[in-house]
Amino acid sequence: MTGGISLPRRDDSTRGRPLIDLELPAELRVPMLQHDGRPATVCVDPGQTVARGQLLGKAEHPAALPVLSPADGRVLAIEVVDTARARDVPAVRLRPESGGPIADGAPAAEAACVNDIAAAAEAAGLAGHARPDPGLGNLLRAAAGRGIQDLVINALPGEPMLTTRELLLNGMLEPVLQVAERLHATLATRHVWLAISSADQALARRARRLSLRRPVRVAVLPDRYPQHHPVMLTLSITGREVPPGGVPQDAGTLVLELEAAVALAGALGLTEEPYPAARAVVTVTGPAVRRPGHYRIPVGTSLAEVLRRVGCSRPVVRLVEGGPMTGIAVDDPEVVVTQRTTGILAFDSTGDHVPDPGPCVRCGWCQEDCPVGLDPQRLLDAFERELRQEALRLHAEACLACGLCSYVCPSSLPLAPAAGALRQWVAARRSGR
Amino acid sequence: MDARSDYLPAAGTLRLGPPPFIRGLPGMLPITMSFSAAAAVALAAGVVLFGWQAVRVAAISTASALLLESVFNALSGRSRSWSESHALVVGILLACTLPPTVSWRVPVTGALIAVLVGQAMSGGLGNYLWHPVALGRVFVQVLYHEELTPERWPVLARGRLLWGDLAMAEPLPPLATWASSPPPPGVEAWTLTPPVEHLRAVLSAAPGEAAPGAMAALIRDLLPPWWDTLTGTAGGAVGEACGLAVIAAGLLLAWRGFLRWRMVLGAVLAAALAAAVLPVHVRVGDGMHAPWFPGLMAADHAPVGAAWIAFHLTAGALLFVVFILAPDPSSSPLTSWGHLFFGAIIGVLTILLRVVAGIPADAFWALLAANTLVPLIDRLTRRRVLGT
Repeated sequence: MTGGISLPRRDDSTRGRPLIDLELPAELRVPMLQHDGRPATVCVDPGQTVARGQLLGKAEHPAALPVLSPADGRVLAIEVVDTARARDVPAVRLRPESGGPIADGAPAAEAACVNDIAAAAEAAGLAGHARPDPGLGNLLRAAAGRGIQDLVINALPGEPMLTTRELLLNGMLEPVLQVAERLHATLATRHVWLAISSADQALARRARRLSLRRPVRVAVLPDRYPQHHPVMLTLSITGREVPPGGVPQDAGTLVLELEAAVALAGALGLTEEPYPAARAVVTVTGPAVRRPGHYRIPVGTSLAEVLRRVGCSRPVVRLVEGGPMTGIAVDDPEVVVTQRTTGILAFDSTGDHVPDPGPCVRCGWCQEDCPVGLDPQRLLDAFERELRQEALRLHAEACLACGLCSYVCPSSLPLAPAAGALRQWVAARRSGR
Repeated sequence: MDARSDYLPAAGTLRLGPPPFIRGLPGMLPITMSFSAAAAVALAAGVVLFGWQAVRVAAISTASALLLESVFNALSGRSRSWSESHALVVGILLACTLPPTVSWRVPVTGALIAVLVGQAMSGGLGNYLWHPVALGRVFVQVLYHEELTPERWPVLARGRLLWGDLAMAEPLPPLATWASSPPPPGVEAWTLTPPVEHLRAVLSAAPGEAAPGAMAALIRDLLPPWWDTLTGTAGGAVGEACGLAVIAAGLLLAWRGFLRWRMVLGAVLAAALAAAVLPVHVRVGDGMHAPWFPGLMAADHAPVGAAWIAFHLTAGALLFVVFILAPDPSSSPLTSWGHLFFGAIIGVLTILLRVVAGIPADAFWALLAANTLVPLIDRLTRRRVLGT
């Protein structure tokens, strides 16, 4: 990988903290859409009692995913909620209650072919954690249909401040390797890789030892942002380049995020978690958080509820779902946690100071650090002057939206947003053709 | 449940906007501050070597630069913004390139050209093509040639550093070195022959025939040793004289991310190579000239070639230009390969201008020439977009 930088890890105050189960809140609002597809159709009625793992929403469309109840409880209402990625999503409002029978977990399926694995993932309602995310089942089926040569399980820590991945991998290394092995056999890939950061040598050694008698190869990669991006992983591990605007599958590679692999292990009965789609493992941190740490949060809990439980030490002026480099700033704390929530960041006013943009001094850092070799400053120029032909010529669609250009810019220019807008425009134009 | 409710955000009060939500550097100020700090390091060495005369030149230069920028901002109706002010850096850097003995006219004129023509009228930070300081420096070189290239220039003597008076100077005895010569009473500084004059002497004082041994002796005896040019005790301009301080300033810039190691590598290697292979034309009597390769010479077991190359790398403004002026973000290339080529152009041109053409202010002319090529270098070294 050329470009990219070692981001300072000074904000990783949650490293090494244990995983804490967040208590069930008084009310859950379970969204029917947690991937990039169609929402599920609600199949329960207000007043009805549901058990944990029971179906709340049916997938009536191939692009929809079923939604299981994260808890025992009573359905209060059918309404709409906002998630960080989607507005006005149908949702089931649920009051958790203890007791009652627990619905049967997913059968420990003898997954003999990739369609069985995909079906198990789909029945468990698993999101794919990919960009874009068609759901894990659809992701696997599409990959099998296209034929892929390399499968990469992505366990690199990724963005600063988010530290759940180390925790997940430490606890789930064995099941993840089993999942990798099964996918390798059923997808008939040439190689299967586990991508691990070189920052944690002990973990890398353990992974190597455990993978000795398996077809899984451990790829230890430098702790360099955005090495964790699927396009960069494909390049670093297989040497193949993903075309601009493409996905790793275009280069014969399937990158499975660690969260997806862990959830799949659950759906295949390889872990203790029978309903992996019911809870998300989230790093809750930021300068305004009193007790930062790793929390297992039921899907449908609002961010406000999470903040109430972990406590705020200062007034929160910005609330972000996801990481500090690519996350989404939400406008309403009532936004709910979904399966894809990996981080909740609360910034106070001192931790959220971005100076006004100044003139470009041509320092060249943005294009020096751009992982795909774009020239963000020219993209900004093209964006501001609406030079769309220029955007096409500069391959704006290759932008990974990693945010590095804005991060390094000493003049605080809005480079990443401009590149992102041009990327979307070029992508829309290419797909329209 | 111990969170105070007013700490929790209300809907609609949260800040939105696109990621990233963390930044690497807090704003523009670090650029100006990094270069000011680097310039200050070089200047501090000058103050040690030349005493209050260095302070005088720096004060005049910096004050004129700041004043001229204020006047320009007032006349052009711009709001004054300290974070965008580059005049402080330009002022200190310009002082660094001037000998401590110059009259007040030189820094004022230099600042006028650097700030008004080089910077303000060229579009300011980020837009100018030529480094303002180099522009101002070559301009005053043309106007005040005698003041800037004197036949002898002073440096404070041993034991008189920092507090000595540059005016109480005596010529350094022949064949004595600065380190071996404690000053007699009443003498606080030595005057020495500038390296350029040494060079001219070497090239013109050739014996009747180009006997390698005789030429080697000339290099050995006439050129100051490399440690004198590196520590600054061979005299020179305020900030350029002490190569060690210049390198320290460059390391400071490298730590802040402005100085790229490829640029330094390209410049030093190219300059060394050029000094090694470029022939000088020596007189062999009766108006006849013959090419002679001092860089490739090893006479009497003495590394004459190495001494020649070390002299060229450490003397004059080359180090100052490479470590402090060339990293300027606005007038240097954008890409890694570009940095390498840019440095190499500066290195080769400096030695060419010095050895072949004998032009004073060689490194500044080389920098300006390399600046001119920056748009071309950027175009030629553009990175390939992944997957295309």
